[in-house]
Amino acid sequence: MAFWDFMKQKASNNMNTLPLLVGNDLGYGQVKTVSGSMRSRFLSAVGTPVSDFGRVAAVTTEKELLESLALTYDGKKYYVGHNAIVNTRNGRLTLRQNKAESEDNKIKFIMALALFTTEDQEYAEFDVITGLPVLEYKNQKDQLYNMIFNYGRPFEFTMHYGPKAVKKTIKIKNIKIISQGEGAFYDFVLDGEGKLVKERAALVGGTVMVVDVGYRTTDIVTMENGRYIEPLSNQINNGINQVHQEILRLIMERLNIKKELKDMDEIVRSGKLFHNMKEYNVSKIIEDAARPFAEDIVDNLYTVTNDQLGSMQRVLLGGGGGQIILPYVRTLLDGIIEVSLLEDSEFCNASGYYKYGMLLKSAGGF
Amino acid sequence: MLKAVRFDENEHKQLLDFIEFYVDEKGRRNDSEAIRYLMQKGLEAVRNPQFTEVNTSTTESTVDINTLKKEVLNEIASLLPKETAQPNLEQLKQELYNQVLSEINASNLNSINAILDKLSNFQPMVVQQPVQQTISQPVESTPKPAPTPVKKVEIPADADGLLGNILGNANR
Repeated sequence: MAFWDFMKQKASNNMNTLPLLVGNDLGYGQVKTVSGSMRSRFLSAVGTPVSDFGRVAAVTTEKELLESLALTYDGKKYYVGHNAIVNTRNGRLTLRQNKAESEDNKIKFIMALALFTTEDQEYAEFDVITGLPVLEYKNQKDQLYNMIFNYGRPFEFTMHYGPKAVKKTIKIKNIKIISQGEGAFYDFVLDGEGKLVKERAALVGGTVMVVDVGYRTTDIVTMENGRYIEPLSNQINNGINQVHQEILRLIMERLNIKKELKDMDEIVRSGKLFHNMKEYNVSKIIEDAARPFAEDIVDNLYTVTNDQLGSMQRVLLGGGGGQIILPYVRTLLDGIIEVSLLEDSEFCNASGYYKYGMLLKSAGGF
Repeated sequence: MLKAVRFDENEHKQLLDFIEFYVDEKGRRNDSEAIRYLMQKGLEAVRNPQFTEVNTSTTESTVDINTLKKEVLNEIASLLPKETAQPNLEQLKQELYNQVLSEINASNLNSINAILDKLSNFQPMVVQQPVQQTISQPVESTPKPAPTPVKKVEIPADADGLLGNILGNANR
């Protein structure tokens, strides 16, 4: 269910039960948030407008809201997602390593939670589960925790729904930070209540490698009957942004069309490019850009397992880039190991975080 | 023939002064050159200043310091107007002192006396400086964030292997 419909339903039924558990994937390409069947996604961009080009008409649909995301925090107005790209000069996707120290990430995080409040809701409490890349987990989890927990202080900000400004206060009650590929694994084996899916339990009883292809990094997480194996887990500092950059180059080389990185998400999703009144099919370009990236990932799988990839049970592909590289990874590993794509792979981390949160709640660990 | 001479500060003052104030052609004091000069010219050069030559290597004329001094004083005296009375230094001092004293009123005198008293009774105060502790480890420039509180998850005894492992991951 789209979060917009859910929030309307929530508002009409007075379902503001506190606190709300959310799984938040603060990605470099997209920010994804899941709570039960409710999910939201927006482009991972923040900008500060020089002049206020905010929406002047009232927001009536989810699309209108997502295209005009804006909030004021600490006396400063920020445009978020599509709005930042279109209406600010400094709104862009960033690949900076440290999530915790960036003010932009705090704004994205606040916005992600604000979308899970109804328009007139002024106070909300959340339990949050989120993740960090495998190798950044140990060094940055304390910083990220402090950023999210905000040293126990609630986040006070103003959310702009078109011309309507609503003051909101969000308090974070509990936080759990895990590594990114873990979320994808939990999404596969747990249901929405945080209980094991028995049919799938048998599929992950051995050693499973989860490959989470993100925008900036690709995380490889090895789970042995559900136990996280740190020495067999790794982080590749190549993500789907590199595929995007290669597609950009090939579009310029073959079609003589200059596009920008921010346009790539839509082009890759649709496989089409519209320019000068013509529509171009760019499937072949995407394929040519994705294949070497897939080969690089497969090479890394061999390296991480010390050339013992064939003795593993299966590879689970997830993340926003999982869908793109699936056919090439399958071809490269044909006859060596089974490769499966996680359902709704783009949301698998956020969804897995949420499911894991449900499990921890039931076990009293949250 | 050289003759050993016992130098007497008073008797040979002129000689010693000559050596002490002798300057060479570059304007530097030069005792050895002065002595060499004396050995060449003899003590007569010192006793009879009119024969005293400084830096014989140069073509400069002979200088008699006493004559020069007299000439300079005469020159200055001729420049002064005849009717101007010679200033009495002691009288000038006394006048200046009286002028300063008249400008200092009684209260100022009291305050000056108070300051003088304080200075005379001044006792230096010793301030205990804090002892700097030896730093054995480098100081971090940024404070380390508070560690993430980890709530230990109790793994149910009846949990199967997979579920137990998954729950156990929360404790790392």
